Amino acid sequence: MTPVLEAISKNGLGIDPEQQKGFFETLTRERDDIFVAIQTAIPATVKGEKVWKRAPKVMTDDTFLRTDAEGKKQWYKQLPFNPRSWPQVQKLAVALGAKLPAKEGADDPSDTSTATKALKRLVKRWPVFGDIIKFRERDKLITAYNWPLDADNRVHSTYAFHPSSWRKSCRNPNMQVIPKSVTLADEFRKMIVPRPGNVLIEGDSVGIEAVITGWLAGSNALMRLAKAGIHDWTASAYHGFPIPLNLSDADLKAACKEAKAKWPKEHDKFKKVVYASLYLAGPQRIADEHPEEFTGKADAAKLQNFFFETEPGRDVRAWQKQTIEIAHANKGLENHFGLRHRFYSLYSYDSRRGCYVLGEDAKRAVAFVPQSDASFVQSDILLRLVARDIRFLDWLVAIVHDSIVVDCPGELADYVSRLLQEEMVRPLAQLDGLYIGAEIKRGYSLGEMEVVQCCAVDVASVQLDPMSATCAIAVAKE
Amino acid sequence: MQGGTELCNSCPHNRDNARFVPPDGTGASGILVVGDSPWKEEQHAGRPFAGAAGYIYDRTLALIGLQRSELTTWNTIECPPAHLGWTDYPSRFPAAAAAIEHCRPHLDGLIQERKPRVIVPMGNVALRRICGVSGIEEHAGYVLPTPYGIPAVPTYHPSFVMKGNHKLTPSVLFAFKRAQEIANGYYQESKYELLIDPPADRVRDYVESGVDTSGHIASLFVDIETPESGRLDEEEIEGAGSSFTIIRCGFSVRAGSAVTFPWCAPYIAILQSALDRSIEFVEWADNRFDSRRLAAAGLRLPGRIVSGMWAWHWFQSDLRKGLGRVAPFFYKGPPWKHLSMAEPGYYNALDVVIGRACYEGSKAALSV
Repeated sequence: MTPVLEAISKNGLGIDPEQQKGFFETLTRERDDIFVAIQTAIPATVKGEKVWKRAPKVMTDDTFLRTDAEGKKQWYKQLPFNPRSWPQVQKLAVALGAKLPAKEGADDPSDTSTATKALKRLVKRWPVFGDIIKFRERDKLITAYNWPLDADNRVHSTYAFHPSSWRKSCRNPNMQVIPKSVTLADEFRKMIVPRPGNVLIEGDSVGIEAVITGWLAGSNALMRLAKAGIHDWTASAYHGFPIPLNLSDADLKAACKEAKAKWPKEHDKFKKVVYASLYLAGPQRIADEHPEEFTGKADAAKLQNFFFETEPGRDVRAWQKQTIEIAHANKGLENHFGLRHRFYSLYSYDSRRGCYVLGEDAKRAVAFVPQSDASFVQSDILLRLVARDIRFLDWLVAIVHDSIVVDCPGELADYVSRLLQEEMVRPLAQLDGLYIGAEIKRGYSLGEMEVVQCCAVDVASVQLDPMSATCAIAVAKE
Repeated sequence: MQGGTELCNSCPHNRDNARFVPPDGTGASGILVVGDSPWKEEQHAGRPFAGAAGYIYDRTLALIGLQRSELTTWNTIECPPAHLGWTDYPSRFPAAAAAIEHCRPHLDGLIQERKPRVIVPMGNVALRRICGVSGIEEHAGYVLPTPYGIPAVPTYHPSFVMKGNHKLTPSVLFAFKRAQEIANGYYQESKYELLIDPPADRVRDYVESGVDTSGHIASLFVDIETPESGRLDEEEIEGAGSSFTIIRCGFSVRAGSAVTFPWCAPYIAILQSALDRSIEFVEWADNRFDSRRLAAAGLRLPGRIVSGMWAWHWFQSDLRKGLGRVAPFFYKGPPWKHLSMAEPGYYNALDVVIGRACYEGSKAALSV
């Protein structure tokens, strides 16, 4: 894989400098406006001060003179409230009487969290926290995503396999954190453009981890629904209209789409619940991470319990228990590509409760095989693409989670889309012929992509991949 | 002090509500384990490593078939610290340093009485107390000398492991295995054939010694040094450094041996002849640190390029990947990574020979 990853790094992702400049200028202006608005809502007691015993050398308009308690004169300047500073946000919460939750794992309950999810809970009553969140969002985009460009206006990341699950890592800068669902994400993604005359094509392995989880859990229902729309199906069932599972794949997808339009709010909620539940996240965590969608732990628990009572949910729960048992017995797990991961803390003794509880490694163990397999499947796709057409070494420009981004000449867009789709849906020998769905999008910027219908790929007619990774890399090298 | 010794009466840290926690175990295995200090659970149980940390400690020992009773387990200080973290920072808490110093005769007496064959300091506090050095991460798993004339194999404290660091369990298990090896008398320090700045003819002979009957060198392990490479961590991508100036190079044509030389003629030509005959070019780093710089210096690298770090990462995917962290698993001896400035030749030769041992060891472990 190294030559392929190096090629992706070398090719780099194209950035439109005009769009980038405009975007960051707007962003900076918005951030500064929000900063000013925040200052008006902050009590004077929260703001810091700089004090001088003697008159400061540089006297500005906001420097004043006062007499302290001992009758001595002192010059002072009130400093603005800094929304980036967590001690100042903590201080603001105390001054307003807002209760922030304690930091995760903190021994001291006064050590409160000022993370976005904690602030979101306070927005309704104290809108200033909403402004702080908006400020931070813009500030992060400005500082973290103002990537350095080369002479061709491209940004070059380095890809490797640093995580213990051998998922792909991306550094300097990290493309995996390109915002997708936050505010301004679309605007940001519009900056990412193809080379002149080229087009961007993004192939997304739809719900790959959920499909693999379904396959591991022996749940045909989950495998099919992960591709068709598990959240919509669960939302529909929740409202008392379960979509029959004996429909054809196309009909099931259409019915799920209909359900999404009918219950968009539940779709969003179940999206969070289902994915979190696959990897053992509890209702408290779901509620904490999405306070705008769940009123509290009970709300999340209700939906999670409902999911676990459905056919795919039942299978998932049984598989999770079995996986933890196997990992505990074998002190590790092996994925379907031969990678063994060691786990030592599947259960731990809770001395307060006097019983064994799930240990620190339990969630990692449950997530390991689907996540790791998904990464290897993606590697296999990349190797096969390069083996089929060596020009992919020039066209591949980024890997963003389950997506592969290609920057190819416009006249070859149909050809590349078809190849991408064929390889992404090809049944996988390592997973007993399992195939993953693919969504191919095309556009002139990553923020304005349209789903394209490639020539229909008959999955049954695509043969199992006879090419091993080693063979593919040899072809790629040539 | 409840159950304290006469020494405790004169201790500046002596308190009425504290309990002296005596050593645990018979020490029949010849291994002395030294921890930090007894906290609430240990005070209650009256033995070191009780409660959650004790659970981790017992579980770790069970994984390699050891029983707590076979070891001697004790702490650096024998009564509870003023607060958690008190003993960790002797410069910030001088009273803690004084207490550790005052308690010294207890542990010294035990070592004299039981005469352990190996000491396992667990955590930084015990490492400082037993070996007089700091930095448990840099020293974990290595065999270090002690003022007692008894070798020590430091490793992580169970309290540290249980706080989100369970992935370090293999490292702790390994340290105990190494300690067992020393206690049972099987331990022998790694011995390598190191050629440091030899004459050119000697290097040519060395290359020939690695050539097989088909005229090839099966695996050539190469490590170069740049002005900044001694300070870089191979694990970090940022550790690639910007300098492409090679000042020294070392290579190994067969296991247990290495040659190192300054980057100048005629050594460069000899290296090229070795590269031309190699089937596999092995470097430790995963970011092609060495191969990139050799190629930039005009050398041909016809062999397959392999990263030793990836082999290790496949074998133990959850552990750190820098050579200094991996070495204790395949090399028996003291740390050497601090010698980059003082003894650059020896440092480079060890980098090569130990890097090769780690690569081949990982490969062998994977093929089992």
